[in-house]
Amino acid sequence: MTPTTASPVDVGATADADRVVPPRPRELTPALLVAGLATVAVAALVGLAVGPVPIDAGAILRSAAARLGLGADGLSATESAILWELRAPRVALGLAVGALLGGSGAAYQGVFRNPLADPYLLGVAAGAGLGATLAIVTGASASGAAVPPAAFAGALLAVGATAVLSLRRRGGVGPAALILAGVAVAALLAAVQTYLLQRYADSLRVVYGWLLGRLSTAGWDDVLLVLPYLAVCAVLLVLAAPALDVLAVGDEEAATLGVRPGRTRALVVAVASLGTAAAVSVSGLIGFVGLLVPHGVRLLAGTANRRVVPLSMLAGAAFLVIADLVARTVQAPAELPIGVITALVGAPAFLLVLRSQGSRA
Amino acid sequence: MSVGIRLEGVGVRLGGRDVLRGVDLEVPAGGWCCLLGPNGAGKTTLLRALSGTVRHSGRVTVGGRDAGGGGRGRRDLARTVAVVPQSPEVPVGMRVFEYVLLGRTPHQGLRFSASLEDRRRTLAVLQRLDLEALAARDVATLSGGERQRAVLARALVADAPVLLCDEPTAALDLGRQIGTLELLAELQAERGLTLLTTLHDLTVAGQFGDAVAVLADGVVVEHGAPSAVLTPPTIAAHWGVDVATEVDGEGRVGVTVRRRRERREAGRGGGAAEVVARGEGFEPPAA
Repeated sequence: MTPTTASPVDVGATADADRVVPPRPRELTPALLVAGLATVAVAALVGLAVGPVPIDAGAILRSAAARLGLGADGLSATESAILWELRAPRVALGLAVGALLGGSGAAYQGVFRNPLADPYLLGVAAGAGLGATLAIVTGASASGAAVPPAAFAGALLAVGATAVLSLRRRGGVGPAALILAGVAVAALLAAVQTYLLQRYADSLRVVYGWLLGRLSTAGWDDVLLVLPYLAVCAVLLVLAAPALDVLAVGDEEAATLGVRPGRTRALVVAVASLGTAAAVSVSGLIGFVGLLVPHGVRLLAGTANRRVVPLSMLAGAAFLVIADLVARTVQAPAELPIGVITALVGAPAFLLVLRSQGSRA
Repeated sequence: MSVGIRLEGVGVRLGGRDVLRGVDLEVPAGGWCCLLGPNGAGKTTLLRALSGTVRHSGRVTVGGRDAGGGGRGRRDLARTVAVVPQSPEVPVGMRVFEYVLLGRTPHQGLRFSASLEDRRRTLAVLQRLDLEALAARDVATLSGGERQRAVLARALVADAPVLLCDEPTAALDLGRQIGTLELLAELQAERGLTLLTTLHDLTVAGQFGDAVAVLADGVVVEHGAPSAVLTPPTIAAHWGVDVATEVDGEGRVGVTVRRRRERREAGRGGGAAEVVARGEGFEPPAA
């Protein structure tokens, strides 16, 4: 069925079209990818180098090489322990969580065609939070291994409820209906969570410790826990991103272009919820990354999802490592919760987005 | 490689209302049927049934095969039937070239990456529709007419043998309207394109297409050659307006609309207003 012969549409224009190099759509170019990876590398190196015991970048690279069996490690035993047992897992966890939140936020915004969609606005994080709380208070999770699956289940239930509530309204999923439904679902889940915390007061410390963010207690175990989720999300979201660019013309038109909007949306929402749940379950609730990072990327690289989704993962990773660096150094030796830093930057940015939305609508 | 379309007893129920009630309609391969009818007659819904985007009863076949389901993939249908929607969504931050390139989606793999061939065809269509100068513009900044041409371009790059157009000329000035319909006529002649277009302008409909179907209240009430359907009694029956018609040697119908006398007191009380539009010999303005 695929027409391979020159179509009559080309007649009269073919000569021109063959001589002139046709324009290119905006894709994820190697240059953009390298720039994104370089940003991540620099952020990671800074995150490893800065702290109460400064370690210079050259020494970090030499030590990393030594661990791979190349050359001699110039660091003292103490410095080596600080670098590899304290800072490295923390930086690695920051990279993974930042990538998950940034990528999930970009995916949500693309799939709902709503620039204000973010894991928290849709109630996904609240659902993940309630799921994790349930796992902790019921003692189902002595080792913590049950927390990510419980958070994942909660996240899916929450986004499912939000989607159903906003779909019921005539005219499809409007931004207002979506956000209102998300707010309602999040409020309901928060109420249940508060009840549980009252009921099981002895679990309060564990749950709050989890809610307030855990990059500060990060060990390699947390990193290993989140890595499979990161791998799955990175692959599936980057593969699905070009389909989101087709969905940008609406479900009906996308269907006439050969895409199945329902399936695509279900897949992307499920994967982004998985990513959010995994991030929240190992790090607690870190706000505004999923909203702020994709918008920053759009300002720099345009709105095509095939660019925004992968670059938001990279930018989110770099952003969270730097935010964590600020959180642990600005009042050293005390630490600010990392959510405070991301909200301080994110809330004003969110207001700017709201204003530009208002001017267009 | 012309492909015909056929609807047999097609019904569509939307919001508790029967929008289509047993529609029978056939457009032979390489034919052009103009679908007319008053507002709310179900014209858009009929096109949606053909493009597989609305649930329907009865049977819809494209090229002899069921349009929806029956093991026919959505991509296969999208390669066969291209659609120009009446009020297309305006995506945020997309360039005209990228927008038109979306028409190649059903020919692309799951990565949706544009081949050189995709880009060449897109450029060729942009050139043919006088859109090349706008290729780098944001779709959201286009005028209504430019946007309508961009949507048509997106449908044309799909290289589908069947083209469904829902009011393809609604946002265009008269010159562009005729120019667009002449382009469709050229494509029909060149590549045997099968066309089903809804039009609300009777004066234009009589000048294009080999057949006219009138849809009223969800049923096809008239179907035949333009000269047989577009007669003063038929038009008076379905639109409630007085017209004079004139059939030329090629069977094209010129429709002249006369202002109704009974509504005159609401206006300024003058004589009859006339609108005459003819397709033949009309040169679209060069852009």
